[in-house]
Amino acid sequence: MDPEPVLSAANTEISRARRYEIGTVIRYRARGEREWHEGLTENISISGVLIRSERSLDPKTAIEMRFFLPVELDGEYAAEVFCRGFVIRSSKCRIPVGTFTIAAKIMHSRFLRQMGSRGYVAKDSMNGNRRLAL
Amino acid sequence: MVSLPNSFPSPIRILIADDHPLFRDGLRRLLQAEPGFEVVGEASDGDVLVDLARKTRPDILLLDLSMPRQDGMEVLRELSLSKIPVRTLLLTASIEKAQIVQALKLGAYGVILKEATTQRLFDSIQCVMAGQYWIGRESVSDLVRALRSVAPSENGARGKDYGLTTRELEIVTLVVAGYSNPDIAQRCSISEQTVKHHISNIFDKLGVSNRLELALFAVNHRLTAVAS
Repeated sequence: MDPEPVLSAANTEISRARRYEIGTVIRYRARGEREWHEGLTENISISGVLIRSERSLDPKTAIEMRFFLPVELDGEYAAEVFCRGFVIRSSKCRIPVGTFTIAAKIMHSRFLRQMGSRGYVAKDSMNGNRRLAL
Repeated sequence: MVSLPNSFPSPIRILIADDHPLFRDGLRRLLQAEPGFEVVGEASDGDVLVDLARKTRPDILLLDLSMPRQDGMEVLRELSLSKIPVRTLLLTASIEKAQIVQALKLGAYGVILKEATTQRLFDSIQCVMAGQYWIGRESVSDLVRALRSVAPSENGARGKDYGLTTRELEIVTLVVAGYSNPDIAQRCSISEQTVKHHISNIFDKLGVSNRLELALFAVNHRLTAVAS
């Protein structure tokens, strides 16, 4: 991957949080869109995520993202993490051609506990649990 | 959720790359019998494949992983450097999970096993055409599982425990599963205050600052790995 910056948000910085090189499928959409798009995470930190995707998004676009924590647990489903934030920059990748990396800042995240096929229970830092139909 | 179109206005142009002529012939016949698919070329080795892809400009490349001269991974690497906007599905008898991740990083859109049914093959092509990834039998869930199995620490075994006690490791697992503090308290038959105390200790030991970072750390360092 050799990103070539094509878009960047002026006066915006990603704080130097520890980045975890976790590759997993992530779904994202611009706020207000109905359809989710897929990409792969390159790395994730508490303040941001780097996504490889076929699509670029303009800097400062507000986005929603969701991904399953890619780990097997004994007798439990790993949570799905739902995040809201905005795009910091989109960069065109030289390899593979036609792909972009999208750096997004995470402003808010919450865990969605998987309840088998019936739905989720959401947990965030402010509220109690509540069941969601997704 | 991502929606899949039922049909495409023009046929999906497919290039087949496999070193076995009988297999290529059978695959071509299958695809040509299906409305909406058009086979635009066949290649028997990796050397000629990239040139053929450049000439035929297919939408989809069905690529055998093990071919003479250049194997599938080498072809993927070469394609990723070229300007050919083709979406590649690896078509293989077997594949290691680490190879799946390597192939995805090189731009492949998925893997379909040669033992798959014809319908699965058609589904995978349409799924990839719609911009989704395809691994095994399902588009996303199996891919997540494959990626889970090749998380950064080796062999699927739990890594270092970073000085965490058995109880703390149990709580880490519950956090990764999305449990709230009250839920954890109930599950472990301890008070919520004790849960908070444990989580505070875990944060200190691991040098993380919130639940999200704890979960990322746990995934990255296999703190919750199932004992094998």
